[in-house]
Amino acid sequence: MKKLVLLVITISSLLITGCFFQQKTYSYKDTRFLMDTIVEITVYGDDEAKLSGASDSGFTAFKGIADVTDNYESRQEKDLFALNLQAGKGPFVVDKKLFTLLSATKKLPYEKIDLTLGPVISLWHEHSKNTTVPTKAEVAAALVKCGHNSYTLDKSTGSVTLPAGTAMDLGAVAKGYAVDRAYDALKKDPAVKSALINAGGNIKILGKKQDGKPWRIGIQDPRHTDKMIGTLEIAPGMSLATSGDYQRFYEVDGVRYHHIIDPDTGYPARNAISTTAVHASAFLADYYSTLLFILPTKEAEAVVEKTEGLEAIIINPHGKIYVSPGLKNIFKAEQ
Amino acid sequence: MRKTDYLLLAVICLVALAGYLFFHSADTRTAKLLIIQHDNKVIERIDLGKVTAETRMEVPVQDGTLTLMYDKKGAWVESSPCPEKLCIHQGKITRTGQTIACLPEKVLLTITTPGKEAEFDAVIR
Repeated sequence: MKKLVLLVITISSLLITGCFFQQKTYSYKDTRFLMDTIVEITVYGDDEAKLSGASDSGFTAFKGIADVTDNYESRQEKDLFALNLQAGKGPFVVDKKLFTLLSATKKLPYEKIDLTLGPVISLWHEHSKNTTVPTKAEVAAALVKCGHNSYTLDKSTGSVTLPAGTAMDLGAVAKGYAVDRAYDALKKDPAVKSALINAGGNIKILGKKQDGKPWRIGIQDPRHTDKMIGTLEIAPGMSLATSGDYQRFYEVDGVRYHHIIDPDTGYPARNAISTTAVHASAFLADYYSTLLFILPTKEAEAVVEKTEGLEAIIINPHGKIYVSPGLKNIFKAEQ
Repeated sequence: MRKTDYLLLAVICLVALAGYLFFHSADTRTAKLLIIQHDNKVIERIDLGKVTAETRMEVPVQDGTLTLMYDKKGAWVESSPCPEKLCIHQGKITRTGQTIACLPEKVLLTITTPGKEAEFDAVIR
């Protein structure tokens, strides 16, 4: 009997001392305003003193993309702002990071993502300031300046040629691409055991969560901000991006005009109210969340089914929710 | 087995259980904290569990005053001098991991938990 008592004492002591001496993991969270959104980087590791520096390296990589993709403000030479000013003036050598991003996007096949939609987006942006709607003639005049394949890239010189009147807007891809670069920087840092990068809904996850549980990402109800439609349990290395009509918008005579423009019409897309794309690449998650938002529902579902590694949640204007087959086991609908 | 053995066993079990509960309770608290930041600095931390009435808070910002509201369930922006009012469009946040941002006025509202076990690691919308 004494042996039994001794055994119980030993196990209990180990349990209690284990609570005292278990390896402590620290976290560090930093929030900055970049790319017209809030960017949060949370890093986890054993050495508390190194986490701030690790987070900084993630932000530096993110800002490296932010600084070359802003079409409203000049941030450095050879950036997107400079490129747009050179439209119609022949080839222009751009920053390498910008060229790489443009090359990656150019390879993607869907014409519904048009990076040269700048003139139309600017038109809507100007009208939003006065809460007015552009006339059909204004939209048509802006639209003729755009075209999915109207720009050319020269890999040998790293230059981009834009036709006169065109302007590029990288809103459909730049944040996701920047998240990937921040992820790469954090992954190289031995002080970082795991991390979560969240750039205004463009999310990427590095490593396992400290408690061993899955990373839980809440998907907000697009029409009721205090409710969730469900939770996605996301594996390390995966990315998510959401596009919606419910944050950047204005209303005229009860009609909502949001910021995601259908390049075929020049008007805000009306086929969905929220789309969430899940992919290993944050760049592609960003690209596809916008594409799926613009496409008619059936076409969007077909794209998800035929694109390897892509999963999605699509909410149509009637509130019907499509969850792609690959997410069914990791999406928990809100009760 | 003697009576004192049983007593010792019971004491050990109780101590182990108390230790377990003590160390794990800190991780499972679910109280909600509203963190209000302006210009990257935390200006207020509010334990929403202790809020008894709908409360108005005015934050001086570069273009005037941003007015936010909170109650025991969550928070929202009532008015803002920013041009596009996106922060107002973001509505009321009630769940841990949710945020409201007013970029032009550099105000950020976040609901979080004091323990490690937040409801969500992030919320997308």
